[in-house]
Amino acid sequence: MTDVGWERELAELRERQRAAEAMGGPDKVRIQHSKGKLTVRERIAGLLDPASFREIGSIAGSGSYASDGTLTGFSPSNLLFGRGRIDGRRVVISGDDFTVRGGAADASIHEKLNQAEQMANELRLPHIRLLDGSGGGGSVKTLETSGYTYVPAIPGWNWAVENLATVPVVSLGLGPIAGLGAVRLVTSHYALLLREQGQMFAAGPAIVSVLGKAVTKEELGGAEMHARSGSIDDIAENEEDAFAKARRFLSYLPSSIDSLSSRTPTDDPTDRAEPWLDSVVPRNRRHVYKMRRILEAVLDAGSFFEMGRNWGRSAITGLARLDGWPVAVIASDPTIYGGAWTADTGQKLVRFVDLAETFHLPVVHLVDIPGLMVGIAAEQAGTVRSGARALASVYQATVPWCTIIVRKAFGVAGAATANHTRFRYRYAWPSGDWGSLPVEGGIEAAYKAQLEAASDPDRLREEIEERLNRARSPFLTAEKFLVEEIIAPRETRSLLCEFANLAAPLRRSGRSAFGCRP
Amino acid sequence: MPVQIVKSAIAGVIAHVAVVEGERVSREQAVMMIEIMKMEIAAEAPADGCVRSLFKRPGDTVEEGQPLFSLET
Repeated sequence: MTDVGWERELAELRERQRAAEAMGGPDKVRIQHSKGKLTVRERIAGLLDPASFREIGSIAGSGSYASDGTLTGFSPSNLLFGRGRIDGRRVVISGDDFTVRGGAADASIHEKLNQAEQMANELRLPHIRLLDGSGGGGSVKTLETSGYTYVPAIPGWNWAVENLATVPVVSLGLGPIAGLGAVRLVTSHYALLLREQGQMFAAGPAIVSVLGKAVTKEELGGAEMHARSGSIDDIAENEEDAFAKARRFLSYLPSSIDSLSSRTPTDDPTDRAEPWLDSVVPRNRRHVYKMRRILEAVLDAGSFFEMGRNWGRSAITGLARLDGWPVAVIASDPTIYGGAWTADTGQKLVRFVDLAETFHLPVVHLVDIPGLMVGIAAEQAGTVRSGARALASVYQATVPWCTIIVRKAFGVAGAATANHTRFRYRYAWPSGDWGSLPVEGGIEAAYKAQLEAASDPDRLREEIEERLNRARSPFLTAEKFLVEEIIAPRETRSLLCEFANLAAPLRRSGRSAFGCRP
Repeated sequence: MPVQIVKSAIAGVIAHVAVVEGERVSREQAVMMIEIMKMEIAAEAPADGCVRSLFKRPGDTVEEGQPLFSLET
């Protein structure tokens, strides 16, 4: 008997691989391109290092057969996943294939979704999800084919949640995403939507219009809107921009909680001192300045990667480098409500501090906080609870923490500059202005009786203000050692670089006391 | 020439309007000052251009996202 080997099977394997690589077929691929979108395979190739994709489940899908068992057609699963490399580091990547049933998750083979998440977790590799599809349950038509229904459960969701506490998770919303896809997008450390191509919603316009409101996809879940709602961290201008942002975000992080992020060589001298910093904060306390310019001046040149710019805007958050070491940066933006914490600012800070804690990034906080935002609208928005949650996240953080008080630090939000029970790694600029309540806002309340009784209340108010302002000098606070050091603003960069170098060996890999939530 | 509607980044009260309709402005020039939290915060021109219309006057309240002025760029 002659052993003919496995040529026939190898030929069938190649045939099945070719069919899978064709995705939804030439017509569907053409439609995808005509919308200005890349196919999932082009996206994977565009994001990963060249030729680094190792696909898993490449021939999973749905075959059709002749009566003799011969394969007559094949529709691949519309969820692809595997391993690859980004900037030489291994990652897990998964992507929806919109050319097969519009990316609907019921055509994906659920176990692939589960395995992608589990592989990222067990191999301790970052996971990048390329999302372009609909929900998890398909449509109500499924009832006709299955003949039964079920209590919903999401395959692999235990891993998706666990991954938030274990490995960096990035989701790129590259098309319309509804239901489960939407939840997968936001269950990430960094999520973005593609401008005009990516939309996200619990249910799309067809369902929303049945409920009485006709809306477009863009109105219901466009990138601009969700960047403001805080559901995403960023907007990408095109697919290449989305890939670049994903690569850049990952460059600041370790591959998992079990390692530490790497230092990058830098040409930016640690003693670079920008003299204009000494006069950037206006003497007039009613006037503001641009914090982002200060960040550019004190962080490694070009290293600041802002996240969540369009929501919680009174705090700027992002990743950066100091003498090459990755750090998490929080900085007040006085042009937004003077830097006062709004309700969404509190939510943004919780999420950001949790990210730093989970991946062992030292935190640098540049402070100009007049307090929690006040007023009816602020109270209705739940500012106090949100601010308290942010304060709790600051006090729970154990990563090295350095505070620079640029100007104001008042009230509860001002006290969230750092956990005061830790060693106070803190510097203040001469523009420092702090206390339990700003003088401007507090006189009316504290001297109410005297002002009411005065014949000239305006004059009395001015007299009181002048008296109180004399006690406001930061030097008097430093004299009592209630602030540790007052520095020339131009020295900030060198002191922050010194902090980053001191903090680097203090970072500890491993699991933090609690993980991130979406 | 494209006209851009510049919206308010914050809620507050218009303290001061620094230009008149038809005036040319340069990028980052303050067009209006908005008072909130005892501070005056500038609503700036996002680009060089000509202020076509002013939608707010001193003393007006403004909500986040409301139009402040139009800019022909």
